[in-house]
Amino acid sequence: MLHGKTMDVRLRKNFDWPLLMVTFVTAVFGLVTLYSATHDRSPIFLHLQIFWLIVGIFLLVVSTMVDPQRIAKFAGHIYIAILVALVVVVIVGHTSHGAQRWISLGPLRFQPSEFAKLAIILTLAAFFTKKHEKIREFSTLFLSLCYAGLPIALILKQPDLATAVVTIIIWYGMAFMAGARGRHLLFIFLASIAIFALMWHVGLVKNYQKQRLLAFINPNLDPQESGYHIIQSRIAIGSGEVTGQGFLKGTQVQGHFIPEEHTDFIFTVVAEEEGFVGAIGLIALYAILLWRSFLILAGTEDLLGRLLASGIITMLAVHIVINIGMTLGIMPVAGVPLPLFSYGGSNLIVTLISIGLLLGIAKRRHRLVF
Amino acid sequence: MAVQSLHRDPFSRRIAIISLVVVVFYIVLIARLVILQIIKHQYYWNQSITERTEPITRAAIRGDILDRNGRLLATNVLTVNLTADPTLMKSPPSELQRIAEVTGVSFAKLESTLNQALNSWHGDHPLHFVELATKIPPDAAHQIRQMNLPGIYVVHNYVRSYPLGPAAAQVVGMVDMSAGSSMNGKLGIEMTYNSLLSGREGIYSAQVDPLGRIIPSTKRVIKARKGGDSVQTTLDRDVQTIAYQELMRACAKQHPNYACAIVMDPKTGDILALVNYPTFDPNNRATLKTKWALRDVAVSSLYEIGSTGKLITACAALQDGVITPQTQFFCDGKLKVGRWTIHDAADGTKIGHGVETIKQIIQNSCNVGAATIGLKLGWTRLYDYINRFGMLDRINVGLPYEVRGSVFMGAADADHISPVKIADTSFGQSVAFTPLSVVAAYAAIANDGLRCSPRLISALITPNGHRINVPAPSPVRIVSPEVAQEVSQCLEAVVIGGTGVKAAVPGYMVAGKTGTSQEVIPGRPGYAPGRYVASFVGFLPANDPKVVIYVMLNDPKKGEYGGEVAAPVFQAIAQRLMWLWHIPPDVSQPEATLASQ
Repeated sequence: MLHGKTMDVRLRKNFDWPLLMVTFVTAVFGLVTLYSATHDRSPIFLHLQIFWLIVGIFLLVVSTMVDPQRIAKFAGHIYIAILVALVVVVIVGHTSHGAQRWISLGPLRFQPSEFAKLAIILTLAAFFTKKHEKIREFSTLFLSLCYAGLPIALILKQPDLATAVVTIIIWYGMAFMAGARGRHLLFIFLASIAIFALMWHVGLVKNYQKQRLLAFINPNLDPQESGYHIIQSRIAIGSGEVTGQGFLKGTQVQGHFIPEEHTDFIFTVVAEEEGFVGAIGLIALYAILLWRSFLILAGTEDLLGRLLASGIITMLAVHIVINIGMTLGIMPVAGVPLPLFSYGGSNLIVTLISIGLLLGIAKRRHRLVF
Repeated sequence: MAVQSLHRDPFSRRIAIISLVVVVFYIVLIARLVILQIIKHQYYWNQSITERTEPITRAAIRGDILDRNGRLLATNVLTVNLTADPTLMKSPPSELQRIAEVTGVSFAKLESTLNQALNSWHGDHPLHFVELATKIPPDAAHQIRQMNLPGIYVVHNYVRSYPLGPAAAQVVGMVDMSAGSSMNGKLGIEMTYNSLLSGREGIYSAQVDPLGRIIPSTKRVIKARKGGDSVQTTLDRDVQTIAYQELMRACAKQHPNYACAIVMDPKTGDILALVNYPTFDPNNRATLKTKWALRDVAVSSLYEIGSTGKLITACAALQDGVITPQTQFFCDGKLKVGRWTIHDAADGTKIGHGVETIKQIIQNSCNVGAATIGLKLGWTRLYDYINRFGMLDRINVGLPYEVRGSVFMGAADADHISPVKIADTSFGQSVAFTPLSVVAAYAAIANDGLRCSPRLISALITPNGHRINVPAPSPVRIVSPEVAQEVSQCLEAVVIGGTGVKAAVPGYMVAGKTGTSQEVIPGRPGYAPGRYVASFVGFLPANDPKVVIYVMLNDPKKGEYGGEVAAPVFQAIAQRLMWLWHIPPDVSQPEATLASQ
């Protein structure tokens, strides 16, 4: 009774309404943009995305109410479950664009690698909380890397290099925030570069991935294939100018010159049709989202909450920077969706759950004071 | 508390570091956005336009070819075709069924056209264009448009059409493509006047989608197309048709290797008709069976003109005073010239024509007489007249592959030439002239000694109707009116009672000359045995000639003499032209009355 009442008071006092609002506004902006990118093809994209948004908002509300401490107790189960899901993907997954990333459940398909990112965040948060006293020892750090490494290896097997890289960056962010020594992290960074170079030469990096990386360095090398994405995206964004060409009027977008314009390259739709104003507006929305998230992180004294928030912030920031950077031609073309914006249910739901968890952490942040 | 402990608490410091990293990345993103959208906007905008814009060329509408009265000899006909984009067709069988019902093209044919196109397509993207049916009736096209069948399009196309068909195939010509963007003249006037007729193609730009389809509202003109000029000829559709019908009638009987008929106005040099055999229908390329059908015999073939050449000998001798109309010659059927003996091929009795003046020489087509006169003239003067008659010139009427005539030797070789060659030349052997040059020579006599160079093109008409007349070359006097009159009377005698009686047209005085020669085999000395070239050339009414008509048949199968084979064709054409033009008979001439009785 008393507990419930204090929760209500705290909810009112600590609930981060700006974060919820900015999430909602961004998602609606995303729907409008998705409409522009898909309206002349099929309404199914927009309908499905609205459906996933509703499901996601429900899960967001649920996430705010679940105590992270309780979730942490199930971290082991979640970890096992996601490993199983990733193995299933590799064995029976749906193939698209030369990679198996989806599991079909009836008419619905979901992408376990998206959920894996959140599962790894939970697992690592629980692990680092338990071992926080030994975090400055390399063995602890290495063990945490192994925990993360197993699902990452399965994600690489799909192959989904981009998600694997994002997951590694999440591990770095969380390990850093958990208090790992800088020189240990640097050592692992250099070692992983060496391993990557080795993989490149041995042939573990798929050809299309190599091409994408090379095309990123010089798009004109391959204007028809990998470089095409980059060139088209740059042209579309450059055509937008200050105020854009107008909603539904982007010549490159509406002419379908942009591949993946509704998923990974959706930022180009905003940049071409809404121009610099729209693009900066969207970047500002994300900035507010990250700023509120950082405030929650800074205001949390609970170690598990801090680590969870760190992981979530790293995930969101990496997605935003890599995705927008990719469309602007300063990051390699990688299959990283733009949170709350790109078409696709898995990432939308994971993002909304993550923000729900952040909101939940925020409302519980003065727990230790009582 | 968190803010206060920022510098003491390692956790807060690490938050600061991470947020700094995010801020740095953010600054890079914004800077990049500023570069792309504001600083280099123009560059990317131009790229976007270039990428979406494609130049389109559209052929100009080809000019018409007209006859002297402005009637069409070649024009463009708008045809309606049906095309399909198989990728957009929802249900091909039912769509084809509905098309078949309206157009009358059988369903099986439409289906096989579509399937054949699909089966033979090996491109790396799906086939987007199939021509289903051509020349659809306009009302059927309208109904198909109303049906709005997915993936079915009604397309308009210009097709070159030749109203006279085979009757004027060689002179009017044809284009290489019956339809489409680049018609190029490949024969006749279509070929020589190709650049004028085709005009200038227009260049347009339009934006395209990634599949290369044009977005109609974005079309812009870069260079407007300019329609081709029309070419007006001196031909007359009626005369051309008459000459064609009569020549074909004769050819159906004679089966010559090739043949031609030319009709010309002697007072202007206007070519009224130019007909060739064998021929083909330029509207249907499948009718083209032999390469001979592509040849304009009148200007591009040389032949040994035979007795028609005696005209030049007579003119030269009379004009230069070598003979008078009263000068008498004796013909005993043969004439010894050096080692050679000239026979009168026309006279089987071998007795000869006896005493004769120039009139009888022409009338009887007497080789002995002509050779005697020729030898009296000498090579220099004979050559001079051949040259003055324009027999050695390329006439340049505006047809492809025109050739110039030639004689055995040039004027400078007068001292070295063998007398037998002079004798041969004086009755039309050892020479090679074009039929048109023979027509022009006879026309000069019909025009009182004034030679008008034949012409075929009278005017160019621009697409906006502006008319540019092609000036007629000024006539050149070859012989005096008196000499022309004398020679004309000789030619009248040919038709009244000589070798050309079959050319006589009742009620009209006809002047003309037969020609019979043997065909020279290219690359071998001598003649082809049994192969003759029969010709007749003449004009009427003789006192005021309206028309010169020439007929030539190479290797006729039933007969060999010009008087037998070619003269009747002349007669038939002449008769119909007199009726066509309502020319009053000049029966006042007693000889004409005599001949017609």
